[in-house]
Amino acid sequence: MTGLGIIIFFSLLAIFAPYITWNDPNTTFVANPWAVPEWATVFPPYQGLPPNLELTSSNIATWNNQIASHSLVTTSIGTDQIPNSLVSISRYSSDQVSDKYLEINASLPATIFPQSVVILNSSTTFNYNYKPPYNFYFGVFVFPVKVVNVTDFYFQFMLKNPSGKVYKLTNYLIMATSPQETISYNNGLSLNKWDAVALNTILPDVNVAALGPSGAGIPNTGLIYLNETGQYTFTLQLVAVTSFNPGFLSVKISNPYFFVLGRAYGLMGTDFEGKDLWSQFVYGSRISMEVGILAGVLSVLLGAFLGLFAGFFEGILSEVTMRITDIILVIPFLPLAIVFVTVITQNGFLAQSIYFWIIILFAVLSWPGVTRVIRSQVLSLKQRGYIEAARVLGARNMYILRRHLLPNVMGLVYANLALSVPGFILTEAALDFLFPGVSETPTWGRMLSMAYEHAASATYYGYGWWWFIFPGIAIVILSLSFVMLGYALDEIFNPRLRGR
Amino acid sequence: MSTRILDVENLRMYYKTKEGYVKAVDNVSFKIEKGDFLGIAGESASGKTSLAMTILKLLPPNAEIKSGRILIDGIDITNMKESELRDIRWTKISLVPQGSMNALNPVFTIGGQIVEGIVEHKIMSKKDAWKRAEELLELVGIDKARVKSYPHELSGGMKQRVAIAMALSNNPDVVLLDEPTTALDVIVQANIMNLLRDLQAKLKMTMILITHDLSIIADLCNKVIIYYAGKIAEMGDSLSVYTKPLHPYTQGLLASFPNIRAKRQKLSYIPGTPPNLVNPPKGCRFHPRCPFAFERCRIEEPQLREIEPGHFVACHLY
Amino acid sequence: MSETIVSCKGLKKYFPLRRGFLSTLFSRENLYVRAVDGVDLEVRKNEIMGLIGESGCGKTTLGKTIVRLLDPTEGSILFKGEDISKLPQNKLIKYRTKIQFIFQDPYESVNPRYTIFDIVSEGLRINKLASKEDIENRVYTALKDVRLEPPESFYDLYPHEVSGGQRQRVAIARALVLNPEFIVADEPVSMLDVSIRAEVLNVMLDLKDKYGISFLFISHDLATAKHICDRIAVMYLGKIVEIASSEELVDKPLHPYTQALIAAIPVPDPRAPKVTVKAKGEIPSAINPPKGCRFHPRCPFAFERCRIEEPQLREIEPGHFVACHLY
Repeated sequence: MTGLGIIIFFSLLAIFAPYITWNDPNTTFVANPWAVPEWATVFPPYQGLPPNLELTSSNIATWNNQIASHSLVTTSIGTDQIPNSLVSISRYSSDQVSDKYLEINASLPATIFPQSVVILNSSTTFNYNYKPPYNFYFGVFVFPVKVVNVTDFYFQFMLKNPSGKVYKLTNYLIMATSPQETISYNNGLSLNKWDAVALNTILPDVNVAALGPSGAGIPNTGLIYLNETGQYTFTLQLVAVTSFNPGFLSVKISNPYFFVLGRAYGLMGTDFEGKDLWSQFVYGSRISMEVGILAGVLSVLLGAFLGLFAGFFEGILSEVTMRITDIILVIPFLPLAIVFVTVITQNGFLAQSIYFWIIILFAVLSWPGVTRVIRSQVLSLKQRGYIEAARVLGARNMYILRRHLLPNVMGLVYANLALSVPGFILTEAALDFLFPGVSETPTWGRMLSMAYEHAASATYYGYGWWWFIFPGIAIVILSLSFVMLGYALDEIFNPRLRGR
Repeated sequence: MSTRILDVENLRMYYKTKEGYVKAVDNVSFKIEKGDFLGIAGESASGKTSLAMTILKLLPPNAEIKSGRILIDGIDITNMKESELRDIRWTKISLVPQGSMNALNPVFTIGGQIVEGIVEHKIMSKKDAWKRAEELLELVGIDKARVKSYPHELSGGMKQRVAIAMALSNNPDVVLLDEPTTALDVIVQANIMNLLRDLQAKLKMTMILITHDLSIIADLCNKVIIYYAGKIAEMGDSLSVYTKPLHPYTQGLLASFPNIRAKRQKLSYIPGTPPNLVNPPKGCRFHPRCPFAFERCRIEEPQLREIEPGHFVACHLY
Repeated sequence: MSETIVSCKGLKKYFPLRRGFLSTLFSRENLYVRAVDGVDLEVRKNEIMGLIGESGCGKTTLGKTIVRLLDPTEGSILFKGEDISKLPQNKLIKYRTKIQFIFQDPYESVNPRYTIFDIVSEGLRINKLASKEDIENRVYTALKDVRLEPPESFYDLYPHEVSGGQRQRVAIARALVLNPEFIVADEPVSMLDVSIRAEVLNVMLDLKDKYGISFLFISHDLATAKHICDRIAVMYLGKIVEIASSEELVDKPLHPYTQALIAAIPVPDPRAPKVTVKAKGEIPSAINPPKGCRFHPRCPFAFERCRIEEPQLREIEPGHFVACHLY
């Protein structure tokens, strides 16, 4: 009955997938790419790897907010809710979002040349006691209320490490990234609207493999900036640029953050793009179960129905049915499936419902086996005395089919069902392995395929064992448990195997 | 005495199953002399085939010989190794198993199958073996030209003759026949019965016939064992057992046997069903079905005792 | 003479032989197994008619054809004067309850998933013959009639929980519950141990006496048939060769085949004469039965005529019919 337990476990996974995962399986950078499972940090090679860390308080009121040098600045704390659509950018979970904001009203002097003036220094300290991360996020939310005669304003971020060295994060990043990557007003912050100033060390269009410790070209900022343990100070500066006329700037800022992208994440770690493997695994169980069970049910129902009738009524139709089974049985299954999937994937419309078509294909190619088994059982049952006896009692065909034959083949039907499902699960995994990225839906087969594809870069990360071990084992266990269930059912329904 | 050919003493053979031990052979002792024709009669599942298989030590892995001795021509085979047993089974005692006529391999000629058995024991050349096969076929009443026939070319009766011929290949002292006529029609059965009678007379062989059919034993055998639920109920000369049955089971069995020469009458039967050999009844195993059972039968197991010379019975009535 | 309940005239049942594709293509002639090849038989009211023959002689096929489990190839089957041989299955329903069949193998003829109550009441439910309460009464009576007592203690048992003899009596009760007038019993005791056979046979005799049910008792065992049948018909290769009252048939057999059968039956008495073989060889195939008298290749008395002309069943002595050129 272990088999049944495992099947129930995976069914629950599949059914409750949205409730037991924290991420959409296709969201990238939920943690650092190639993050190990969090529990793996108990093992020496992974000890001290940082998980996802929210290192600073999101409530700006708790920060050390200092008006820098200028006398015409006032600040006040107010409350306002930041729109959820913005929050997602910063990797906050929405319950960590603070509604406190800091309002700054600054008068700026007129200058002949534009001049940068630091208006606000907002800083906080945190302790960091892990190995250095590869990447981190930081930023702030900003609401420009009034901008008069200000050439520009922008944010500048600084990190002071325990040894006292100060890094200007923004400068470096702006240099490193493409010119569009900006935090300044002129580059799109709009008036009277909350906006996110979000920066991270994961750069657009960068070869993700290069994010590794020995990646080419771009140093991993995390390794540089956070390579010590101890107390760090994180500072954000609001800088305005003056113009010919005396200017005025009114800005609300809220929810500054400094967020380390974990190198250890969740139950099963992340893949090469930092996608949550646990949620891929859980959603993958949906596809596996769905394809396995639906294809199983469909093929067994079809097969049992045809087998029952082909066995009971011997005639032309039964003969034709059996010849069709012969033809289908000699078709090589996997090559045909490969061709079929290739064709389907070429057609954008059909490709959308690829799993529907796979289920149909499996069912169409698999019913003959069931039909043969059921038919031979019916042929043998038909010779039983009690079938003839029912006829003598005046029973009609439908009565005999319903009351005597059906109950006697049901056991076989259940057993066949349970025994056909693992085949479908494996074949589906194989097809997904051969055709990764056919659809956006994660599957176990696709997980394996992707792990295989990125095996080269995986060598830096202990071969990324967490990527392929779990789906691999799951496929084996689930298939095996269906087989075990099949044998158990066979034993329950087959009087010859039943304990005497 | 030198003429003793088979001596079984206190033999116990149980099958180990999930439900417990199946006591198929439970404390069985008997002796037969050279030239005897012994019939062992019992109902289905009484353990009579198990008794035969125990004597030959052809037992499945779950069978355990609990006690007793089996002496064949004075040789104790109880603890013999399988390799030695194979020779004993060939030269001293052989078996015509139940349904053996349907066990012939359909893709080999009957001669080939007889020869194969002979050659395996390396006692003669292949050429001599074919000659011997022809001899054997003639012995059992089949034209020797049929030595090259395939089993499907023979009728059921002829196949049974071939099975008997195979058991005779090395002139064994004892031949055990397990239900040799069960699937055959009466006329063919009579043919086989006559063949056995002739063979026994001609070859001075000792034969043991196991069957459920009392009338075949009456027709062929000079000694009879009535076997019930793993035990010998009655044993003795056929004439004495059939004309003066002592055990109530023998009496009931004989009364329920339709006799074609008797007057038309209502047949009688033994009420109840044979016991389960895992949990046989305490005391006498027949007592739940016995019309004469009394207190002692329920408690004490009757021992096989010689009531008249050569006539043994296990019953508290005597 | 009492009235006839079932009679068949010229009844034939051929089974076409399935052959390979090529041989069908090149040969027009169809091969048949002539299992029943022109049988005239009469079963009277309130009698047990024995039908005796070796395996492969067609006796079971004849029995199944009479109850229309098989459709006859030719000939008629009269039940109380009405021809049921050509009735389509749906018109046959009203005769189904009157004509019943008991199968050889009690282990196979009852559905192992049904309780005994369900097995016995199945016929009533199929034919919607009785109300719920009535069903129970009739099942009760039927079980009592086959001496399964107390009946209610058997209701909820499954077939594997009762002995072979009891199971066969359950099968009889299943037929009996429909109040049949005629029952074909196909070797009803051959699978049972000798010591309990009579228990089942006596039930049949009781039913004959109590309800006047007629039986066709199909068996290979002439000794048993002698004791329970009123009349016996001997069948050989699809044909009836001799019919007589059971005592006369056994004591004064006329047909050489019957004589051979009787001589071959051993007797449970060591003093009795030994069995003798009065027929050569074994029963030939029913695909190509011998010309003339079908028994002639085995018959010790066969002469020229036997090889050419097929003997007809004739009444040699009152009530004693035989198909043999010797008489």
